[in-house]
Amino acid sequence: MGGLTLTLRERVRLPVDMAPVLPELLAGLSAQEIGKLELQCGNRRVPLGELFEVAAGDPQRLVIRDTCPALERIGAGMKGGAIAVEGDAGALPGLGMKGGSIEVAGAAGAFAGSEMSGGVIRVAGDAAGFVGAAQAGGRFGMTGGAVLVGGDLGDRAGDRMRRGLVLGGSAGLHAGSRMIGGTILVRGTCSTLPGVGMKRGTLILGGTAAAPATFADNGVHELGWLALLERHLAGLGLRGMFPSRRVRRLTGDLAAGGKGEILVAA
Amino acid sequence: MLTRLESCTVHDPINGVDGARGDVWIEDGRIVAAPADGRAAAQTLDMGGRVVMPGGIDLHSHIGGGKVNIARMLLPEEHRAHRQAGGNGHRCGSGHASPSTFTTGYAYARMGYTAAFEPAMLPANARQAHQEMADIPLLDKGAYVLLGNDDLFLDLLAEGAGPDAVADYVAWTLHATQALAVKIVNPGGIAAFKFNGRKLDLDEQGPHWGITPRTILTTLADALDRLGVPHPIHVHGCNLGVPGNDATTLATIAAMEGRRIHLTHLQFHSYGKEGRHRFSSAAPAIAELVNKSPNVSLDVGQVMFGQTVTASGDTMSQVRNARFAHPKKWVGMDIECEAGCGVVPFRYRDRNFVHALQWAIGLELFLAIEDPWRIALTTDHPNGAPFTTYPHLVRLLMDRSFRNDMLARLPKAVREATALGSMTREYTLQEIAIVTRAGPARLLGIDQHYGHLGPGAMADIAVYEDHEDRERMFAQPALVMKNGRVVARDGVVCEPGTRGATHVVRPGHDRAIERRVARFFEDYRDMRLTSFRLAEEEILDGGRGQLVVHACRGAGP
Ligand SMILES: [Zn+2]
Repeated sequence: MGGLTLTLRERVRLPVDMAPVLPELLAGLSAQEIGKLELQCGNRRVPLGELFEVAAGDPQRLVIRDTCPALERIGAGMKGGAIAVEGDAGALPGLGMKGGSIEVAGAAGAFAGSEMSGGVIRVAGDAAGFVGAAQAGGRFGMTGGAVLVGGDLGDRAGDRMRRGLVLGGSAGLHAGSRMIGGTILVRGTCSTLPGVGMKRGTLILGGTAAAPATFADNGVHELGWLALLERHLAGLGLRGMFPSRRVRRLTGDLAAGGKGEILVAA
Repeated sequence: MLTRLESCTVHDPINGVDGARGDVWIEDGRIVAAPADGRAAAQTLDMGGRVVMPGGIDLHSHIGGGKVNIARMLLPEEHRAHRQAGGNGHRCGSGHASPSTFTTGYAYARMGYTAAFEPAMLPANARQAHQEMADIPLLDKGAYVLLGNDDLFLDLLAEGAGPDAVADYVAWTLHATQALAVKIVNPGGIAAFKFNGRKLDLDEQGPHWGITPRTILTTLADALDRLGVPHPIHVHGCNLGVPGNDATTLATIAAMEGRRIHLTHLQFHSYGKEGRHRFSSAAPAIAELVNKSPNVSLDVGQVMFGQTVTASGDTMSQVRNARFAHPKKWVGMDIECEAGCGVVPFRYRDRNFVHALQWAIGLELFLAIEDPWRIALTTDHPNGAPFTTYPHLVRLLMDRSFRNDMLARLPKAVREATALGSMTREYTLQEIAIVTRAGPARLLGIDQHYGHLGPGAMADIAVYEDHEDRERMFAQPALVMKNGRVVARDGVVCEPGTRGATHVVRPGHDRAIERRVARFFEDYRDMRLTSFRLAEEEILDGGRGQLVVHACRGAGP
């Protein structure tokens, strides 16, 4: 049996809260029952069947087709199973997810993997700002799992991130801002002021970056543990992602304790 | 239109009605006597013998003003987790311990409450407090203005300005901020904090002005008495939350020497320092003195287990509590040097000795204080718990076996440290009606037209199903009326657009005091006196608001 498939009937303009559409919540429901579930669309509640065509299948392998950026919070809070998004995902995909996987064929909106604690999100296209970040007022961003972005990361990737892995092609402003732990790996370069307010954690950059003045240059090193990271990435099916094992190490942000590091491929 | 509520079991303590079967008549938003001429009602609602009480009145609940808004801003995650959609005339809202204005009004009305009073309005925040309260639907409201830690008050005392000048300044502030009463938080302690003080006991001289909390308290009490303000000084005493503060509380009552005083959230001020944890219940000794002191009234500030947020003007105690913040973040603020502000999110846990004993101490006070007219049911929302826990609290008071079941779940050390298990008292429905509506109305001096069901009273009415489970009974009244209109049925608000009035007092005073106040504003403040003062029109707001001015004994405006 193939995966349970929801095909968006037509593009929607108002945001649709997709959080109730999780493998664990759809298990045991017939296609008709799923069609009757109500989703919040703008300020109205709309039956899922009005927005999507439902084709029965295994809810553990949920497929959402012909998506558009109005579909928000896809996979929010999910604990297991897989969601394949055949198109773009709106803001907050995988918000607070605990396990399972989300694959986005297109681009992802802001806050992908925000406050997630486990599982993997793969985005083929770009991911907008605040990947793996904390919600407004939240104390921690992601605390586990991985967000693997084929395209580029927007601004403030990994803001207040505590544990886990974020991967992207290049990064916008303030990558790793206020980071508390975990690893961000940017294959290319990033925009200004990476690591601002960083307490701990590691930001790896493929290319040069203008680090804030509150980072101290520790010189160029060959770091043994980077081999472990490379092996971990290989385990996620990612090869050839690693910029270099020789890196320039900058420690900071000295304005926030200074136990974090930015490693720039040398 | 004449409406008749037929076949009611009436609990109307102010008029001495305790469960009598009868009818309640309503016309033009007020209760009226049964028509003598036998005129028929245009509308008859059969209450089927259900319990009918005046609408609930909460005399101490932080529902508007600076601190509440800071708590909301500090806890965006709370608002994300508790969201209410709009629709059917309802406005959307959010929040649990720091609910938004609309959510506050709906949640109170759902429980049969028709009035709630903000007890800590900073004078400089009066405009915001009133604007926020104007947004709260379905409730009458009012505010107690904070005085006693502000520089001008302390200046007046230090320069020996005399009781007339102090009373005039208090009256001027009540007028300027559209307040109903005066509250003092940690007398002199907040001012001392600004000179780096971390503790100020009743007879310690404060810094700079050299004035003791005792003097501040008695001076304010005398000023209010002189002005004839109905509600006595509303006191959050020294040493809130400090083990061993029982001595301060007992001394504070004695210091009043018979002057009237309302001790707010007394639970937080009833701690001994006996036992292995150096934290014990002093409720028996405090209740004993309260029972002997007819000049004392109080509200409890009951603690209930779960997540909440503490928002207090007592910067000193909040700095002390900040290390217990959950989640780990807090805000301390000062606005215009008038008082203080500390907001610390907090989770009361039933496995924690101190928290569990706080819960027991509150209940001990409820059960040991004999005169229900002098004790009001509060959780000091949100400091002890959100007000939405009231139905559960009512059940704890009315149902001994339920109370003992709850007690049995607490750690053994707690059960051994409290006399609660042996307390047999169960509140009657009449006593609940007193501590949740009739008593607060009387303590606030609004009992001429509020808090009862006699002719002339506003038709604010709650009708309850007489469930054996009192929590269920009080969580979901069958019917709630505001000004004679049905606003909620079976726990669902059906008239969400209803607006309540704002209650104020306007004591007479010598307006010459404004010259002294103006000089102070010129010299020290960054706000103009003219923009500080809240105009009546701002409350009336083109008919959106309504003012109810309560008479002050022996004085005219
Ligand atoms: Zn309070």
